[in-house]
Amino acid sequence: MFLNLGAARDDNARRPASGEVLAADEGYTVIDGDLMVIGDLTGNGHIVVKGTVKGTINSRSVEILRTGVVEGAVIAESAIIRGHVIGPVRANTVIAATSARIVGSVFHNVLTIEPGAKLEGRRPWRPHIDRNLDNE
Amino acid sequence: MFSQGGKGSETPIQPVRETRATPRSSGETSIISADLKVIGNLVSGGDIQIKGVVEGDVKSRTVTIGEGAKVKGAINADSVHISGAINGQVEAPTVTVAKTAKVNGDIIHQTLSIEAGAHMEGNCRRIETKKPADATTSASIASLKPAASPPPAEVGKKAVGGS
Repeated sequence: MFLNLGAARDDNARRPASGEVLAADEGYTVIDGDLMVIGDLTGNGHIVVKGTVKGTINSRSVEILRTGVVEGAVIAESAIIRGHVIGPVRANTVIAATSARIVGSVFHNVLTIEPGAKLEGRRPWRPHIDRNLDNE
Repeated sequence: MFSQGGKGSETPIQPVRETRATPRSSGETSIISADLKVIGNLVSGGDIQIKGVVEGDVKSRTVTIGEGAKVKGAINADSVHISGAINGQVEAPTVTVAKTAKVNGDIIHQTLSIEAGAHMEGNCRRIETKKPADATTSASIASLKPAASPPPAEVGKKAVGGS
């Protein structure tokens, strides 16, 4: 059992780009490509979505990778979208990468749209977005 | 395969920053971090490590419930390792309960290990059938996909030639 745990940790350590990430292991969530979450995710750390989430994501920092699909709202202080979001995005800093596809409004304070990103919907600017308040 | 480097071949080569389209069942682990709360169900064909709070059912190949984690709901997997708290039924061929665990619910297993000190409340039932959770897991995953079209009606078999 303890061996197992050790192995799992070892596995983590071998993951790429994990240097920074694993240091802050506490608040680091991965929704792997195999995983489908039907429900809401609420946290204060960093959430990486490679799989599917059908529900609202609310966290300090959210990254939807290319394979990631979110059917629901993405609420964060900083959101990087490389995958598919069907629903509103609400974050102070939003980066829509080349591979992004967002079907829904993007509420933002600072918005970056890389060439090729597909944004369908309004992109309203807001002076400040508080992810804990459910305001429009 | 990647024979250019002289290094050991075991390190998986993956892009560092921009994660490419990872193949399905990449063998990676999903992690629910300690500060995360999930209200809803988790369905996976891979591994899930839960360190936070999950209120809902979990279906996966491997489920690890870390110390300090809380799960309220049923767990159905091939292998379950429990170090945290769970309130609900656990169904898996292999179940390991560590001493820090707090289990409130039944455990349906083939192989069960409970470390001294674990808090257990509920029935432990052993089932003989081979890989029951495996079947349910794949069934549940299959049920997420659109149902396969029903087999073509046996139109062609209509009595053509007669007797």
